[in-house]
Amino acid sequence: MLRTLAALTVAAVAPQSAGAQSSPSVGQPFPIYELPLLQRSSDAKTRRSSIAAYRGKKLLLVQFASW
Amino acid sequence: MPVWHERTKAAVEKGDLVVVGVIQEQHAERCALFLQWKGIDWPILVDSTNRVGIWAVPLVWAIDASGVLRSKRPKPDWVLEDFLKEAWPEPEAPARPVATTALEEAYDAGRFGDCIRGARAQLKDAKLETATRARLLFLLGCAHRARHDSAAARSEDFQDAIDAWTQASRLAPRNYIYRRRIQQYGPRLGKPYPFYDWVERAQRDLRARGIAPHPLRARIEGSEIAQPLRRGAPDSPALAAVAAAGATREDDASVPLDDGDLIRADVVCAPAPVAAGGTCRVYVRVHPSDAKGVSFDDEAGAPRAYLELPKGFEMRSALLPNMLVPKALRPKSSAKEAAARARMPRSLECEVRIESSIAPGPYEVRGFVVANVCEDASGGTCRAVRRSFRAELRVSAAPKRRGRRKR
Repeated sequence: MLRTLAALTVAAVAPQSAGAQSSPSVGQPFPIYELPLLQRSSDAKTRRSSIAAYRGKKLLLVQFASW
Repeated sequence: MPVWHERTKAAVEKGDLVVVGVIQEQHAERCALFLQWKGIDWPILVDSTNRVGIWAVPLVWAIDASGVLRSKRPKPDWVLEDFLKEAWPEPEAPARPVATTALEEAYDAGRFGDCIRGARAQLKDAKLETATRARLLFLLGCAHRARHDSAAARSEDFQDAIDAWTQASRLAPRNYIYRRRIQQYGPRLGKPYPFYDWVERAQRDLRARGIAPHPLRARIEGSEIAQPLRRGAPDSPALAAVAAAGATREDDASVPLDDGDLIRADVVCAPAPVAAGGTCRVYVRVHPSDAKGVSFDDEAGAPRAYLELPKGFEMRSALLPNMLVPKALRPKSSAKEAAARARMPRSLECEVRIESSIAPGPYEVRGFVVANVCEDASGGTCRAVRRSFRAELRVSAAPKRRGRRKR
């Protein structure tokens, strides 16, 4: 179940030259971003969340697009 | 993603694993429809502006119970067998929160005008690093497009979105999130795949299951469902316009001009600028006047548009009307819904190829639209009106071809 105010830990992207892509390093903590939660019904209120709320659980973070 | 959902379902139900999705789409509600269709119930976080800074999707990360990244792009077997069984020590330093910027807050809150003004102000700083400038430009494009999809839309928003994303992609050419955002709206030749051709199928399947599909607020452009065109593939001959039965260009050219400002027409080109030798997607959008309560008279026929292109510019596909209408506004809807549909802007799209010999610079696209409109919803005067338009189509130099290496 999703908890409110869960922390999404994602790598921070530091400013760098064009073409260079930053990436979190294995073995390092993921930085935490808070983002809007996807509304599953049209009358749902907008909430924010992040994956830090899942601390204590093993987590798969899947970044994708429907296309 | 359905594969990950199937493979991890048991572990998630057992409580051994949590799966959280993050989406990088402009229109998050389309992802909601996709997940509803596929029966995926993960919590999903929306990152339409790519603030987390990834360069492509899909990406999967395995994070342990202490918030430490343990694998990038893991395989399902490794997750289920090794990841779940391994116990890792606590990290020396915990993960740090990344503050949401004022511009990101404005975007999330739907204050797109504030986001646009703030981004433009920051972009004036000549000392910005390239990557930061690219991210700001991408955010600016997202804000323009989001405002375009809102009640506060301005006529230049769609083109401004394309322009900003194009600049972002040029600064960060390896970022596929930026590139896909333009390709979504661009010509068929540049498409990797049809982005949203699954939407109608999903809506149909859900209704067949007795489930109301998740509503889509933003209309889907024709380019977003167009099939990619491969180089060398046979192409359709140029057509001047979609003509309704019995309508000809000559007939339409004699329709009285819209001297009452009942409609507005604007043109958007994607990408912008377009390289000589390349192809761009041209959108001709027709808007009924809000101030005068104008609506389209759909029974009399859909709007038609005609383009006059400069020499060296060739229309490579018909000007096709955008046929996708949100479910709530289907023809069999209530009178109220039909009235709302009649006030929706209409879009006609085509693709234009530019000869490689064309010199870089601005060129003018002219044309006119003919629309059947009624002056108020309660049955005021209905008539056909014609409105001319002009738009600038910028051409950049043809990309240099790489020579072959000598063996």
